[in-house]
Amino acid sequence: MDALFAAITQGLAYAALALGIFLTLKIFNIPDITTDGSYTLGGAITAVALSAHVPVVWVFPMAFAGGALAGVATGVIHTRLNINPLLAGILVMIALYSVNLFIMGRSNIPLTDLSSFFSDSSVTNFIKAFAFALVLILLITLLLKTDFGIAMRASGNSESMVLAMGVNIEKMKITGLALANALTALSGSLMVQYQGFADINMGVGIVISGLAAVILGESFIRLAKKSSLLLNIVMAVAGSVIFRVLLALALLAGLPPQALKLVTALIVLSIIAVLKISFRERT
Amino acid sequence: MIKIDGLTKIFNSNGHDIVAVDNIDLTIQPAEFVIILGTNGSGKSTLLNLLAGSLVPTAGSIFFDQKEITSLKEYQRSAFIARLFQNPLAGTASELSIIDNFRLAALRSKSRKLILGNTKSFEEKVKHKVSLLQLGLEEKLHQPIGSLSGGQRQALTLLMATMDNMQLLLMDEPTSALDPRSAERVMELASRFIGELGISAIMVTHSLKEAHRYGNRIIQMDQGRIIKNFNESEKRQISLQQMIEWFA
Repeated sequence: MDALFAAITQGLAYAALALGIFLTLKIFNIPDITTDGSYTLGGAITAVALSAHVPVVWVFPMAFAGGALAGVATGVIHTRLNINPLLAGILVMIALYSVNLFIMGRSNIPLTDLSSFFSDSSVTNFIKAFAFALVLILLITLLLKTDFGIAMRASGNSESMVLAMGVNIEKMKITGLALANALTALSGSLMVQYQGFADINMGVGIVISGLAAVILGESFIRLAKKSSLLLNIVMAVAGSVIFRVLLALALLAGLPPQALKLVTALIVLSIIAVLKISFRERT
Repeated sequence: MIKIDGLTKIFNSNGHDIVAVDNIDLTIQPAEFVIILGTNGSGKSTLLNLLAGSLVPTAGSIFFDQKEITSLKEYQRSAFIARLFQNPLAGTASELSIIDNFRLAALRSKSRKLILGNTKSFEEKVKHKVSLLQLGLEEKLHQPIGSLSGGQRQALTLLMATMDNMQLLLMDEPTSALDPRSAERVMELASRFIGELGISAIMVTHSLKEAHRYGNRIIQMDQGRIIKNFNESEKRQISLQQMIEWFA
């Protein structure tokens, strides 16, 4: 039971990551995998800042800003140099590995006996992670409903229309990638504070968690046959929680930890396959 | 007023230069509705795209009300140019609701701020505008615009163009993907808006019937050049049969 509760709390801590992937994949239609790097960047900044006794309230904006910069880098490479977004993301992700090592100074920073957002009580931690996710859901929904947000949503939808409507689409994409990676870095920050250490390899393959969350969320939306902006965003976060619970269940069922990434990939593959098959007629 | 000076566009494909638009001079007055005819590859669409800013000319310049706009980007020109595309999907964002599409259109020449602009009063305004189309779409403002037919979307795109400052309307075969009835509705609407607002408009079309019926100036292009250019009174003298013979 404890393991499941922890999984739900983790899923909520990954909500920001899910929202970041939701922004790039669903709103902007850009496959961005800067994620692995910006997630670790958020964690690295957090670990170093907390070790230097920076107050927790300052740690989040710092991680957010770091992630945003990473997103700007990917966005500039993609739009100004006209490089495929996937490649732009890979380049920045690889570069960030060194940047993160510079920031951390070593490959692992433990945070024992340092004050952080989370505490020793699992119930308090759950409530905090839940509140954090809730605030993000509301903020992102609100943002996407503003005039600026409408232009954002249109950008991933019809480039010709958006240009004809006077939107600087390059700037818009850079902003979107910045916001998405800032959110991802927030997740990295939360997870470091939750697990009590930062590790240079903590971000390896993390993009799949966000993808799984968004795809799971999408499948609920299709099953429910209802769709609204708020619902889509809530479901991406719900997808993040469910994905963590699925992984926890697999581990509880006796899955050896070294098979975790394999199972992760298989879970994502099977959701996509089920979606493709069951909704084939309608598309 | 739009003035084009020596406008040229050369495309390079596999080392071969293709002159799509060849040293064109053209002046278009306010309230002029110019029809452009020409065979495929005559440079009509390229000319339109050069005016819109989606293509950069190889040489020449474009002036709008005496100001040079040649180096303005497409999104910057959108402050006074509205477009109607051949593909009805291109002028609207299909996953966004009708009202969101109209909100963007209302901000074509303005900045998009972090405010909730889809207010009740804005919705009433859009509802009234859309009801003028008599398509019953005013009750569907919160539906994704992608759920509508091509004809409905094209009519809405045209209506959206009137939501903000428009000095020039560029239409690239706006009815070629529509059924005859929808096509006629879109053309009547376009013709009405151009007349009422007194703006300049340019339409590329392959439909000689449309070319004959609408517009007050007609141009024929061939191999990147203007080979025929008739004003309003001259255009009225031209019969549909004569137009057909232009392509013989």
